[in-house]
Amino acid sequence: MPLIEVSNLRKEYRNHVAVQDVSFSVEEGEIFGILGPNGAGKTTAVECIEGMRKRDGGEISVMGLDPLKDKDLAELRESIGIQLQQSELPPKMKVWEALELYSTFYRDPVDWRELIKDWGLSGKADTAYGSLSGGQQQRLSIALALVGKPRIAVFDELTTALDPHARRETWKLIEKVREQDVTVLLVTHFMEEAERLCDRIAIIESGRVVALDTPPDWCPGSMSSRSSASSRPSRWTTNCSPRCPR
Amino acid sequence: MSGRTKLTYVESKLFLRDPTAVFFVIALPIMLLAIFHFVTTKSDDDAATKASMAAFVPAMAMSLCLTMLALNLLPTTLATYREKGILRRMAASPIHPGNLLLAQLFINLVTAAVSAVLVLIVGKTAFDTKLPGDVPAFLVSFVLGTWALFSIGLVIAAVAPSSKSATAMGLSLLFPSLFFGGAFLPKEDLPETVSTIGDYTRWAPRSRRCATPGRTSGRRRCT
Repeated sequence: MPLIEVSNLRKEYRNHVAVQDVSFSVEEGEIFGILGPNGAGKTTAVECIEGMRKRDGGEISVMGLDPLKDKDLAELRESIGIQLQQSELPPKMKVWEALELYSTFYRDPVDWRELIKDWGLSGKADTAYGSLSGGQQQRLSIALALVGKPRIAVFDELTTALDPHARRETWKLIEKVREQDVTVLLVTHFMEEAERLCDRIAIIESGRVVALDTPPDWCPGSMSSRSSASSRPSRWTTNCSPRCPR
Repeated sequence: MSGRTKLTYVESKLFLRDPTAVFFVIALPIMLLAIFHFVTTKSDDDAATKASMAAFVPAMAMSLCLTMLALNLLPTTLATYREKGILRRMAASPIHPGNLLLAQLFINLVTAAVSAVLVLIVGKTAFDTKLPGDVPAFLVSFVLGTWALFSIGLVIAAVAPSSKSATAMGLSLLFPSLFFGGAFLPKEDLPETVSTIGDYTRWAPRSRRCATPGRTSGRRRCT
């Protein structure tokens, strides 16, 4: 049984439909990518899955729980680690304070001291959030998402604000998360990122899934070691914004 | 330590790390006491005026600090927490973000109480100001006044779209409320029109000095 199952998800805002019709499922242990241009409805879709927004239509099951039910949602919060697209911590809160604080919110947290070591924040443990670099803030937000020992981690546009070097470093970190048996849902608009990291991807455009597949190994000289399951027009790689291949 | 207790503890630490908060709550009231003490002792007012000032000054220092906390610091902090996604980040954890608002409210209320006690003790010991003569009446009016001011502060925090607008809204209520309430000048010295407006802006901290120097219960705060 898939860990996450989404069928015919629909979400409307006051004057537009953000998600028309989205269906996909995520198996335990995979890195599942949600790829698409800005404004395609990626974030809205994952926020409905996380229970941060209430869906207007369709069905969602996360580990057998329905995020619309309050009781299920409380349970879901314990086992889903969320890194939001735009969220900060109080600027004067220190790295260790944030991790220690958030670890008290969960029933069965990991040792936050280990997280500080694992995520390369040892030298910055006593630094305030506001004084960290973008890459360090990002690493702290990943560590915070993992403090509750989640089964699923959701990363939304994790690397968008980072320079290419920091982005590559973050990719290694995401692979490290998967090695800890955490299923990863990754939202991105970088084709390269999805191709490098994801086992499978859903491409979303204008609130609909336009392609759902294993990322193919089409890119000439690509570093990806994954074998190609299907072939796609090469224009996908030349212009990095995904287009519907239909 | 449970999540909620830890949250209140960490938020208190963050509050104390903010120099503006500490200034308004600890330093400013004491400075006011000192300045007015200096002015009063140097002036050649009669004994009755001096005695009434001794009763008025601590009430004014207390009101100023309370109004600052309720109309400026609290709404700005809460609006910043919302604007920066700090509340949303917490909503993604098992702890409801409402706990963060409660922690902030608690910290601000404790600070208001600490500041009031400080004004009374430092005023009495160092500057020879009067203690409240009618303690139950003082306590009731302090609690009600604090309640009213913090309610307004929370409304600002709820409706302000950003931290900057929360500050603007807070300050645009703060100064008129201090003025009409008689924090800058005792109510009895205000022009009648201004004093009447002050009677209607009920959230204003009201300071009245006693008419007769012998009556130490003359300092009252209404809501």
